[in-house]
Amino acid sequence: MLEFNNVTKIYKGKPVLKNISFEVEAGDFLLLSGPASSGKSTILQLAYMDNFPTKGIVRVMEFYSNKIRSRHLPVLRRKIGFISQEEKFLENKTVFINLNYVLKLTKKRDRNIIGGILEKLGLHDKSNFYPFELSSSERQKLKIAQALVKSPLLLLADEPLNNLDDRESEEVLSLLKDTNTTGTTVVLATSRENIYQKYSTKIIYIENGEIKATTL
Amino acid sequence: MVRSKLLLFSIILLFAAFLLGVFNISNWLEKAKEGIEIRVYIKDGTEVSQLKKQVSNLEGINEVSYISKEMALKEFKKSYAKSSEYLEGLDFNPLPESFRLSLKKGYRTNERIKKLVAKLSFFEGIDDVIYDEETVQRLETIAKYFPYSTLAMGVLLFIISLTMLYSKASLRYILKSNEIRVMRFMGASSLPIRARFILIEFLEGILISGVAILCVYEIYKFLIDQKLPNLSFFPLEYWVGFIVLWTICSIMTSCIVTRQI
Repeated sequence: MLEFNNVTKIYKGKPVLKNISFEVEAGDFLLLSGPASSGKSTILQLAYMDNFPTKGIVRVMEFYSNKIRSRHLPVLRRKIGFISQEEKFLENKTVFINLNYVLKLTKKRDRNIIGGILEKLGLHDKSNFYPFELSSSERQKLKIAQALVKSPLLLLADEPLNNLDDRESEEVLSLLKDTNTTGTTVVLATSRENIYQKYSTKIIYIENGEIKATTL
Repeated sequence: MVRSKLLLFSIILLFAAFLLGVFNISNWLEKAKEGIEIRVYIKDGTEVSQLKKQVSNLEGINEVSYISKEMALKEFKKSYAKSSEYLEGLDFNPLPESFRLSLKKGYRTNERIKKLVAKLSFFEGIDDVIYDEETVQRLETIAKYFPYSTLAMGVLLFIISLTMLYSKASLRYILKSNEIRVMRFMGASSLPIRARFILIEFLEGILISGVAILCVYEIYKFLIDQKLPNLSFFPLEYWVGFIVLWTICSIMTSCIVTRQI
């Protein structure tokens, strides 16, 4: 599903990832843990091909970072759900339209998916709200909904519990686990590994852009 | 964005009004040239039909009209109706017979008319040949510089309009850039995003140039109501061409602006 092969990423002359190699099988729940600025988010960006390695190769499904053409990127991204730390909303569109837009990209026609996800995330009464009308926790949930509405083969989650309280965190975690159970491969990056440990099947500990420990 | 659209509309309106002005001045120039004529006075007792045939055979002559003494007097009386004292005491018609010559298109220049006049003056039976040299020269000067000045002005207005068009498309792109970034991030292909952007610019191109033509038509109607002589509006193919031109320009600028998507 996902493979990093001797990947190095250098930003402005500073190495962020140093010769990283690992592989994730379909159906895995991989936990990328480590302190802030250790390179976890960069790994997710490289997996989403929102960024490209300076050295080495990233393979996501049948797509290789050194061979992929810009016209193939949309095809890849429609198969991946990405809960990034940045908010990527159509601010002048309602919650429902934001999600419907993503759904249409994946060529899925069943709008009930949107209702189901909003229900699970407790956003069902916010579907006609604009993103700017939502609280920070609701915006975080909208990011999660955007990723899940694709019914992705691979889910990349970067600190998905940001801005959520304990109860909400538990609900989201359970949703992520359910998603994993239905066959979606999950790669989750966090600096709070203790919360997720019980859900993960594999853990990689990263520090200063290097893999320090792994349960692979 | 609204200000940018209004500014573009104003410049396109100005461009359309300029084209209408050029169109009417060109028409007026053409009509004035068509009106250039040579007057050939005939000696008394000359065989008119024979002479008319000879004159008609000359190169550059479009039409030869015979003016009899009676017709000449009638014309004279009509022209000087308010100054009847000129005609007082006249108990005979002093005006000679004449030909009025109209010229073919390429022969309405001062140089060619002079050559023609020289040829005519050698004809037997012709008393005098006259034409309005001053008017011909003035028309020639206008006709010489008019295309260059209008072309320069037209190109300038066109460049300004294109710049405005490009700025409007760029501004829309900047305003939409966040939305485009989100769409691309979510997995949208560039083609539908570009197509939507280009479609909006295309529709706006039709609308703005169409409304500009409509406004110019209203200005034209107002001027006609003010009894301005001989004004005419663009024929169908001109104003359709104008709208098509701006629509194509709108599409092209939006293609350039969105090439990075």
